[in-house]
Amino acid sequence: MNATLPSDGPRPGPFGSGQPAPTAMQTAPHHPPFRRRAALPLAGLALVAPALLSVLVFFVLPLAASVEGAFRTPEGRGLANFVKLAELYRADILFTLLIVGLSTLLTGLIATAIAGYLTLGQNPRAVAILRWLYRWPLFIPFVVTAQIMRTFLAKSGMLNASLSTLGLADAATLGSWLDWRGIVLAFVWKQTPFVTLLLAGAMAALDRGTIEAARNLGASRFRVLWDIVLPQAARTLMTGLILSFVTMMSVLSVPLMINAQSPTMITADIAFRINAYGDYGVANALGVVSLLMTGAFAILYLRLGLRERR
Amino acid sequence: MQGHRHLEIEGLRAGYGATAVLEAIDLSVPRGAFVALLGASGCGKSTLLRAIAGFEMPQAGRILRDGVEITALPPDRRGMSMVFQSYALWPHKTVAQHLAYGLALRRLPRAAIAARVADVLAMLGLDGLEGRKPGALSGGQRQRVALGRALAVEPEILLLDEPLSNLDARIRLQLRTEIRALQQRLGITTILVTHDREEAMVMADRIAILDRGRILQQGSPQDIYTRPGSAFVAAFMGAENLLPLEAVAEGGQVILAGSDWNAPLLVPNLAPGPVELRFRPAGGALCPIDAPPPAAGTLSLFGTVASCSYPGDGWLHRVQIGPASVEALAPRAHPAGSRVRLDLPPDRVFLFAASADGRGAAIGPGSRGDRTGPILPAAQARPERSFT
Repeated sequence: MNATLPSDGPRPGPFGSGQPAPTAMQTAPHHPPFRRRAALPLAGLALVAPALLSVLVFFVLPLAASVEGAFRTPEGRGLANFVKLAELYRADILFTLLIVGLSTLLTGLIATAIAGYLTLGQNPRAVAILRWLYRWPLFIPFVVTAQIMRTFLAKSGMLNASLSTLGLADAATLGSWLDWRGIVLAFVWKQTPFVTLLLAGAMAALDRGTIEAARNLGASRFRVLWDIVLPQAARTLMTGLILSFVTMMSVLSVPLMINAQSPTMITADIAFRINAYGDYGVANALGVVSLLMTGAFAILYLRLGLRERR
Repeated sequence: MQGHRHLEIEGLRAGYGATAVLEAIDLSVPRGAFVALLGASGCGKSTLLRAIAGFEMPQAGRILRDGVEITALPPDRRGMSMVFQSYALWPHKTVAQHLAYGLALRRLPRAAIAARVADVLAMLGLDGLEGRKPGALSGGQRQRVALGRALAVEPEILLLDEPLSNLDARIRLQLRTEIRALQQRLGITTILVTHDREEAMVMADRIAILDRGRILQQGSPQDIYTRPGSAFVAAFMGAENLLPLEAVAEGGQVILAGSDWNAPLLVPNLAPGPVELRFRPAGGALCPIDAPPPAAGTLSLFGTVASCSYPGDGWLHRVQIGPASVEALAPRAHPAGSRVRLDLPPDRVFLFAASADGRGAAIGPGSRGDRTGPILPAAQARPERSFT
């Protein structure tokens, strides 16, 4: 609104205050060098070229080669790899979708709860402690997360020990949690801080008045979160969840360490196809399926971004 | 319409750590009254309103509604509606949803909500806009929606935080009379925070002037305008013209000593020492230096016209009187360079003991101390409490 205010900096005009009266020589107007603009497109292209080339050589070409490899069979181009994939890994593809979908949902719920408390919490000490605590998993790699979960969720792990100590369950009947539940737990544990970070930032940037106006009208804090805060931060939440979904789709260490038996996730299958059989064809086909799944979300993300800019 | 004390504030202190924003605030608001908290930015008026609404936790003191303490009650349980300076509209909700929100929280039946929303839309002239979101509304319309959202729940107490400051002048004038009329019609106890003197005077029936976290003076608009209790209040109420004078004891009385720029004058209740004279541009009569002498008790000042302009409603002169340059409004123009006399009747003269911080205590005829009040020593700084 105040963009038209003149700047405080020195003016380009030759009659600035305190300057001596200009002589005839000095009064010639000093035009900005418009002509240089003409050379810009080429110069710009030259500046962009290295980055563009890197993207082409290191990203687009390998991706294209991988996609092309999915259709390459000993008998020439064909869909044989996909037929094999459908036979062997249909369950795993569904399993992957369900696990990552459930993890994304839980991540969204917990991140909303944490970010909501950070925004609306009234106990400053509790808010400060939560703000300090929740980020820790951000700095722990997936493989270490999986390692932590292995010791935590094993049959004789900390979770079962705690449950039986508290008398909530009998240690003898408790089994290992290292199946799909373990993967979901590891994913949610690792991804929640990331989504919370984005979401809490968006919530903190809201006009506090919109929150206070609802409180003032009699809305509880939960109602304020649901009716006022979340709708205004929904796009950021969606962005965080989409990025999270794509990240989880690409994690190998967690399914490999927590649950490598059938059914498992696509990433573990790809690794297995390559390491055990040297079967790049089916591995590439699995990659294409994974790409299609994340691609759908990437399109969603781009559309959100476009709407935001409007 | 006005009855018992609806809202009471006792010894309220608020701030951040050791920094006090409000100190020892005492305020009593009768039912149905319209009170304006008037002050410059940073005086604590918004903090006071937010403490009343429950958004600021006071460090000390009590807030009572109908005699019941509500100091620690959360904002959603105070039965007050607030209109925010930024309007604080919800970008994702339509006008109708704004108006219905508080009613839905009260679990009113759908039909009752629809009827009330229609009422409020009609009352505020928002018909036809119910489906729009805030982004598609003008500033004035947004303000009405913010007001409608607060009024829809039929609050007992309405809090207005600079509700008109973001609007352009014409709409501001229109809305302030509308809000006042609405408040009168609905009989809602209303507290307005504003930095605009005229707005406070037009809208409120009682004004409290805040400065540096304290209430300096409270009373009716006319009371504060005609009898400011301190130099600060006088200046805030438009008596911006300032002239240093000297009060001296002479023959058992204290008079304003004569000088090159003023005639000597006997003033009741004056204490000897340096004195601040304050008056409004329209407070005096400007005449040629050789005009017939004024009525007794009038303070005459002598000066030279420096400039003259016509802003409407008379000619505005800038007059050099002794060390000060003052403004004076006159029905006819006196050319620049002419010697003039400015006659100030006693009720237009505000005299204060000169103080270092420019917030001098009131003395003399126009002051709250009045004829019966104590004679304040000139060295005394601004009063610790308001005079009311």
